[in-house]
Amino acid sequence: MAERVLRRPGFSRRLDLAPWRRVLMVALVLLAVAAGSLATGKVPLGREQLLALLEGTHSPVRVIVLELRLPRLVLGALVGGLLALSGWLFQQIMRNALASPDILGVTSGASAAAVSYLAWLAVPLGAWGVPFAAMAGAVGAAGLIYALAWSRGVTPIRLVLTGIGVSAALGAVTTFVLAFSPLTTTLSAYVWLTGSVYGANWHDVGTLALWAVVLILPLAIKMRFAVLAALDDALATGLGVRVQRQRAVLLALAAAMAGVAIAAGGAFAFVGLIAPHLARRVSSAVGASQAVLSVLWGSLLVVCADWIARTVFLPLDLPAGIFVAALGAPFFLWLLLREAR
Amino acid sequence: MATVAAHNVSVGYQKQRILDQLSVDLPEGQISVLVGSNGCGKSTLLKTLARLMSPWSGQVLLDGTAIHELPTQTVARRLALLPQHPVAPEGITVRQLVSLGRHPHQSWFEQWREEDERCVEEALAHTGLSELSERGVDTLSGGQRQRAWIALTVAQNTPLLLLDEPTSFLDLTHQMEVLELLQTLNRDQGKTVVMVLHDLNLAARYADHIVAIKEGRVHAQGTPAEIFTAERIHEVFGLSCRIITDPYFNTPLCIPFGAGFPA
Repeated sequence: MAERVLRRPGFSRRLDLAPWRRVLMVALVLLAVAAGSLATGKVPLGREQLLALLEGTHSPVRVIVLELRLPRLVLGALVGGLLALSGWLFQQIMRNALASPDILGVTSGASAAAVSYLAWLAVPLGAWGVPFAAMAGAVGAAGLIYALAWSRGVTPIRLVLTGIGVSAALGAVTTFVLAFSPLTTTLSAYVWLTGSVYGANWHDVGTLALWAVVLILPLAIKMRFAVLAALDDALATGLGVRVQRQRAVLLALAAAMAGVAIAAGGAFAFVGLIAPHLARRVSSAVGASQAVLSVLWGSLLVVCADWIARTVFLPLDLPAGIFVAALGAPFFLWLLLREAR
Repeated sequence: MATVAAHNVSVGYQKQRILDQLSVDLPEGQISVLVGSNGCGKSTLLKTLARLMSPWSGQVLLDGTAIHELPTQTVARRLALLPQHPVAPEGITVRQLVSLGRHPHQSWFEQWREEDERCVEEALAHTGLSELSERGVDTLSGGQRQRAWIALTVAQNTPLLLLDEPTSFLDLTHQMEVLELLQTLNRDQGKTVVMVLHDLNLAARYADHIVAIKEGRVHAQGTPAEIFTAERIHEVFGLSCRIITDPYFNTPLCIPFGAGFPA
């Protein structure tokens, strides 16, 4: 049994090492994919350019790699990681393997708001407001779902059902707005709805990274409750958890994580649903290691998807969102099949 | 000291009153079993005693203090609860599950003190699960799984243990296994056990104290021999029966009558 116990005065932890080895493995794969992605594209990176890059001399390749590809890659990793963490948290709280920001109305709230903004406000105000609209939509939808599900506290099943209902209604709003918009709006909205990290810059990365820190820190403090949330309410109460209060805090965190990720990269579907399952399929982890593994899988999915979207169909640069499901779904099905054999 | 009592407790769901000004003192260091027909309020009483439901009026006293005024973590250090049909998170191992029982004794900084480790190992040993501790909970048999849940409450290391129908859906062998385990915990560790049971004959064998509930009130309480009489059973359950004495263990044994088996 690979287990480490850490005990200092006033501090003690038990670390199950097996899942952390998995974490390390997936992290290495992510790094390898990242290196490959940085080296390929419209301007491939040969040995000379690579050396020039390492020496730090100013060159066009240097600009392409450090100012175009790298921020795009990091933004993709952050978006994927946050969506995955949000999905993991939703699945823990809802005790439902099908829960995710897509299904629970957070994504559709962000989409309805962003598309409405693109249709009516983008021309007078400028496109800079889209992330703010998306964020407001995500948080608004989450709040609405929580309020509608409330009946002297909220139960997971009521939240799921209310989420599906609100999600469907907001999906109709999005379609309605799109149907009445000019074609140019429809096109930009469509790219946004698919999810894309095209044109990412270091400023976007910095903003999202800051949000990530702000949202992940409280989760790190509340991790014990995220684990206990997967038990019955009665059991968790019996173990001294203030269930309704912790649930509200964790839900707010999950919704905000999805909100900021979607605001930065558009409505990437499927990542939040599938990444936690990938994490569960390949390790017996519970708690923090499972959360970290979900984050890495989410990052890996989006980074791989963007790599394909950017390079395979040159000179086209497609939205990465297309390939998240194209890549993630077959892989997930293969894992399920392998498990069944 | 570890006592739990209800004083004039009324509680219910929405507008339907389930418990009506119910008072009961559960004796310390004994096994108390709540019996009664379906819907009589025995599960509701257990939930109210475990602070899962807040009384409309009256109060539950844990060691003499109103339970709803105590911080929930303080309560969790004195009173452990096993609800009906608990569901384990997917893929969790027995040891991981049992370790969750340490939650009320932990903080963000202190999550695996020597005491935590000792309590988990002891809980696994007491419940005969040491060998199975690395197995996934979903791979266990029904009886083993129920023992794993009880191990979680044992690791919680509380003087009081409340269980809601711990033997339901188990075959007779596993029902016995669970009840034997609870009896050992009571005898060896002095735990006060309060549980809801449906099987009167097993209740008669394992209980020190029986509380018979009818229509949201305590109808009668006392030793199994005092409570299990043909008249009482008829009053509480509406069931005609004859009570004989178990020739082996001298506990009351209920022989129910029916249309095909008339008195």
